Amino acid sequence: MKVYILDEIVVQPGRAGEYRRAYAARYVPGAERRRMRLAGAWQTPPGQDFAELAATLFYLWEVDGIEGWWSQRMSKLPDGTDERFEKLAWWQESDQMTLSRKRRVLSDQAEIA
Amino acid sequence: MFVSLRLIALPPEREAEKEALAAQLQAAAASLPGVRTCWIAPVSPVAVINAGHVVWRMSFASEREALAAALVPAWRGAVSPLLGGTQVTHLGYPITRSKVVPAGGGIWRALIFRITPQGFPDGAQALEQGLLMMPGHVSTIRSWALSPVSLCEGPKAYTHVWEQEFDSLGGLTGEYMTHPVHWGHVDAFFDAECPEYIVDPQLIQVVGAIDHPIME
Repeated sequence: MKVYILDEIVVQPGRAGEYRRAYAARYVPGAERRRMRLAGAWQTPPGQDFAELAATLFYLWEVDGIEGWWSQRMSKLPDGTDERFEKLAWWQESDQMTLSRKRRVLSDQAEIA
Repeated sequence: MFVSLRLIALPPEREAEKEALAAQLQAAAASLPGVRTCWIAPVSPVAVINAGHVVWRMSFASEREALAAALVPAWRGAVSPLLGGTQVTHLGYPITRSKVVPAGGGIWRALIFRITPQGFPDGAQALEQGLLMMPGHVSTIRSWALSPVSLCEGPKAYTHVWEQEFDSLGGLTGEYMTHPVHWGHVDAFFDAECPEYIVDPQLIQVVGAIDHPIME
């Protein structure tokens, strides 16, 4: 089964660029160490950032099935300790720039897969 | 029915005593009043988190009887000396939502967790609803109970006990973990990366082998 993780993040007006840079620098490297692969990233409104409008950013990650999902979920730091506090620290930092966010776990639709 | 659950942690130099301690507690518990069921076992070394070394689960007709059992001379004379030098996490909880089916041996497992204050009431209700979905989808769960903690002694103010019985450890490490209702729905409340995250990370998972059902 293919398993995906979709982050849907509503960023405060005027902060979309700042958020994208923070996500790339603070979140992406750790996620890739956890063997998550960024399958796509999108935004709306499309085409450009509007300082007057909140932007919604989407990041779609692919993992290696259920095992890969648990692997990223239960990840450890190099010293063997739980990584959850580092993950939580990033999302608390993220919360300072956002209005709301969702994280969804997805699979292919059975009829189409 | 009211359950009194104790998780007993031995200091490192005494960990080898867990089998003997379980047997000694079993003998001492026989003299306690009001006990309907009593199960004491060494904690399985597999799939456990912060569980200590010996698990002791007793059921009583009511919370009053559970509290009274620890006040009698038999407790002070026979049980208390055995618990000296150990760290005990004690949880008392009424069984309110459960389903128990007759079966043989297997394993008993409990997840003991604390929902943080910001999780109440909406997140707690959503998490409970998610957990209560699991027995309907995870075929290896044969008996279960989701209980609110009403009495807690120990280092963390736990709020919930989610216990199940399985035919084997594989029922927990297999279908329970791989079913989408778990990783695709319920786990969000336990995952620090999800906005739904409300469960304190210092949780307990305890597993013990049973030769007959211990839930009733």
